[in-house]
Amino acid sequence: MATSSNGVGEFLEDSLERVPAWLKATDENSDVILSTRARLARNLTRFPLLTVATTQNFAEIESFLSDKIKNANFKAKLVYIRLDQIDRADVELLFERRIITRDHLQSSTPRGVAVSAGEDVAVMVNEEDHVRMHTIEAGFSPEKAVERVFQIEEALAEDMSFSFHSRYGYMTCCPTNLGSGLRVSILVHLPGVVLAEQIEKALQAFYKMRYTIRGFYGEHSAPTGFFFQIANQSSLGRTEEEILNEIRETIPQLVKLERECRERIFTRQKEYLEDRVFKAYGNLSLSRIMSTEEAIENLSLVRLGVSMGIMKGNLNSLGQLLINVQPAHIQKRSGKALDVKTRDVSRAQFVQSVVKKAVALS
Amino acid sequence: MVCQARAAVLHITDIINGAPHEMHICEQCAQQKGFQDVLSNISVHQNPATAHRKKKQEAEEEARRCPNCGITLKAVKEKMRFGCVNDIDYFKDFVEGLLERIHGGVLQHVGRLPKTATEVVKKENMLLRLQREMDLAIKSEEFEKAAKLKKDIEALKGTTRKSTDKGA
Repeated sequence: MATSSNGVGEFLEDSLERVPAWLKATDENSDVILSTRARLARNLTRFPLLTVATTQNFAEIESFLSDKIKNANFKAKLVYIRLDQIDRADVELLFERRIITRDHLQSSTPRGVAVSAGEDVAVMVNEEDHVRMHTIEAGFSPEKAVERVFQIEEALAEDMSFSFHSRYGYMTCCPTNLGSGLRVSILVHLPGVVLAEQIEKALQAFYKMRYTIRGFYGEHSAPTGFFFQIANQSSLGRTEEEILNEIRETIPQLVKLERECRERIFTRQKEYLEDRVFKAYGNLSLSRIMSTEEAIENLSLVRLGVSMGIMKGNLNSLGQLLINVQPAHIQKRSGKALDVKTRDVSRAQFVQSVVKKAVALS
Repeated sequence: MVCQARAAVLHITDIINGAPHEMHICEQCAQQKGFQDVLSNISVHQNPATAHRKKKQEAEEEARRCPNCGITLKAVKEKMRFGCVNDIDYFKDFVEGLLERIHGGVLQHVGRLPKTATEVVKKENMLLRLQREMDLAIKSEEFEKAAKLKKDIEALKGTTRKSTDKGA
């Protein structure tokens, strides 16, 4: 299917009403595992790595790759967006929707991203490497995410040559990405483990296995709202299948731990749990001023409440709200540039209106 | 550890909500995170001989430049990034230690290959993959599968030997 630059405006405008395909809860564990992301990093032999690239190199690489991407034989239809040519506010929107990374947002060089209508496939140009492609699946679907990202890679590889070292595999700027350049990350919600004070132990287990743990926003972020992104750090010395096997074995154990912790708190500290959940609901329903962090923390608790049957609600609506409370989204909804204070007021109003419809006290 | 790549020089214990949280940070991450004051206090008390050795090492690293992309070893260490594929072999002594710390285990690519990989690389990769599969099969006591994989490995090795003989 063809990728084009047409429809960029539409794609950005429709963002507020569009639900990413990966956000839709699909199975009984979707309350703990929100999504699975698989990413590949590749560089072209014909251009210098971005570490040493000149301004002209950046422009040449962008031009070359955007052209190839537009003509590649992808299964999904992609829209190519030139990030250095759209409003900064829209670039932030793309970051908030997990279509681009923070590094890609903060850069100012010629760069772009090709993204699918469902926002579950993205190909970034001139992020840390020449090309970084990712797929996001709803729930726990590492095999599907990995299979699809390799399909993207194969479509690109038909018309370009990737830099490769005979011993250490695919060449990447960062030594952590050598080898297969594959990173699989799982977005999990662990309020039970955190409230039961088991989180340090759980994270240590993953650190030992050479996994990185990051917060909701990805790289460099703190774990707000009990959300964690767990990803394999190493992609060298193991086959893609081995990386998958390890994830398939370890993540279900984490789900089990989360369920046990929730059950324990519900049994032994019911009033404490209910108090926190209902107070969060109260905050969301009645606040006049709300920061992004506050919104996510409170939404997280209400989400827990709904998962545990303490209140009735729609997990998908709450998930969508997690995206929509972010700064660029609130701003876009208002249709004008807002300062932080005005945004916080606007956010409080918006959250109230959605929570009224999405959650009911049982 | 923050970067999980370099050795820690700073060990900090923070008290958050009454509970101790330990942080182990290397020099670079410490600088990035704004611990310069703590670091500079440490350097003041550093042995002058150590400081001199360190300065000499830094000068050497600045002089070592990859002939292909021109990046210095100093820059590679500071940024934790490569300038080109040649850096891996040119700064071999540094890179091997680094990769050991980051990846541990087998320091060899055993995953999928690009179509442009040479026949030699493809065969070696296949042998490594089959070997790993066989080891895993033995570990999980799937002995029939392991036996089949062993046959596949022998067959592949045999093919390599035959083509070598032909070339001789």
